[in-house]
Amino acid sequence: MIAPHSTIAFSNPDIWPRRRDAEFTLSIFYGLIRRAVSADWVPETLSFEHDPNRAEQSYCETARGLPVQPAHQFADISAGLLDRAMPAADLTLHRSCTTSLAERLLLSAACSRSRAG
Amino acid sequence: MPSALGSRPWRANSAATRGDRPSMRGIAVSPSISTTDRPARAKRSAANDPAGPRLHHRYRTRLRPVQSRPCAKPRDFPSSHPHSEAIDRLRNFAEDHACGGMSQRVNDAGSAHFSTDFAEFAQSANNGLVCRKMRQQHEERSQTRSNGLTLRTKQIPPAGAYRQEVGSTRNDRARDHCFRALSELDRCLQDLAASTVNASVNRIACRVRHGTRHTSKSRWFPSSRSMRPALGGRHSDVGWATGGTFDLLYLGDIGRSILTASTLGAALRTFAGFHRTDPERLRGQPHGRG
Repeated sequence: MIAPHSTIAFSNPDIWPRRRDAEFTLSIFYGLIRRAVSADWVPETLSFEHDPNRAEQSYCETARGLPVQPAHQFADISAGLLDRAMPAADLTLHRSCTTSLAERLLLSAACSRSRAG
Repeated sequence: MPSALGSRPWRANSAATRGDRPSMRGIAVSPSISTTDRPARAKRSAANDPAGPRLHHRYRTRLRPVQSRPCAKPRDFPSSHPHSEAIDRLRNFAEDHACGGMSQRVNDAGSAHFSTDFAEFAQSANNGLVCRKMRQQHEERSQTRSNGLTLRTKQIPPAGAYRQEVGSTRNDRARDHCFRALSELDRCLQDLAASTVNASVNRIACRVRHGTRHTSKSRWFPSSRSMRPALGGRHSDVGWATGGTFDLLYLGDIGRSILTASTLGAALRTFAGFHRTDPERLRGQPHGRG
């Protein structure tokens, strides 16, 4: 039985070459999940579309021999991890930041509309 | 003074009329030399006049010495500057991770350009994620092709429910900033590799743009070709190496909202959700749900 898992994948055709961009982004997620789960957490699957190179060695070193599949860029994680608590959880700050961003989003939209009009 | 000179306006700038410049007193200047086109006329007079060398010498003595153009003054970021926080974080990041080259360049007055790049990248990423126009463009493009970051999970959200643009930014300029910042960081890491793996690395001079006036200055960086042996003939892993240590607070409120989410699922959803979520719904969504 395959455990439910989540997949983080991305492919932006506007960025090319995106070797570093892909590594950078997935690595941020990697660090974010490690922050919530544990320092020795490794994803179930890690895949990049670019050829294996020095980066692969780095992945394997950090992911303890995790096979890196040269396909699309994604990382599989266990779905059960999504309920893990974040160490710096702060509902008030989270809400204020989200509200601030939403207001900025609305302001940006209003500015765009005024420019278009 | 113009009325006294009458029909000889050239004397207005001749040495004989400059009483306030003692070094220029008494030097006769040919009336044919006007205040304009001095170098060309000086060359002609030196070539055609029998007393050319002497006259030319005199002429050169009254020319102001040619001074090299001063380098553009680097940007000064006061504490009130919106980029100052990002620059401080970048400096701390470089120091914490022993990126001596980058730290030096950040602290170096001439490297304000890179700091600006990174700060603008952070700011543009912060702004770009909340840009409705960008969201609309991406939604239109995502209908025909996969675009942005897609978080798929088999539990709560449906497949392809969340899209986010990470690493890339809202326009080419900001994306260039990102790549330049990463390239600079890559150079720093290569410097570290060069110092530890291969101490004698052939270096090439690169033209680096400083400030906003496009003033160029040669700096020495290891070339990719020369670094290839030091790196084992492979590409560097700067993307992976820096992503793990990347502080999400570089992204401002987005980073704070990610890190302060109650669960990992909420954090990932926040990471990916600003791009697509309607602001009205964003303000009213339940926080902290995994």
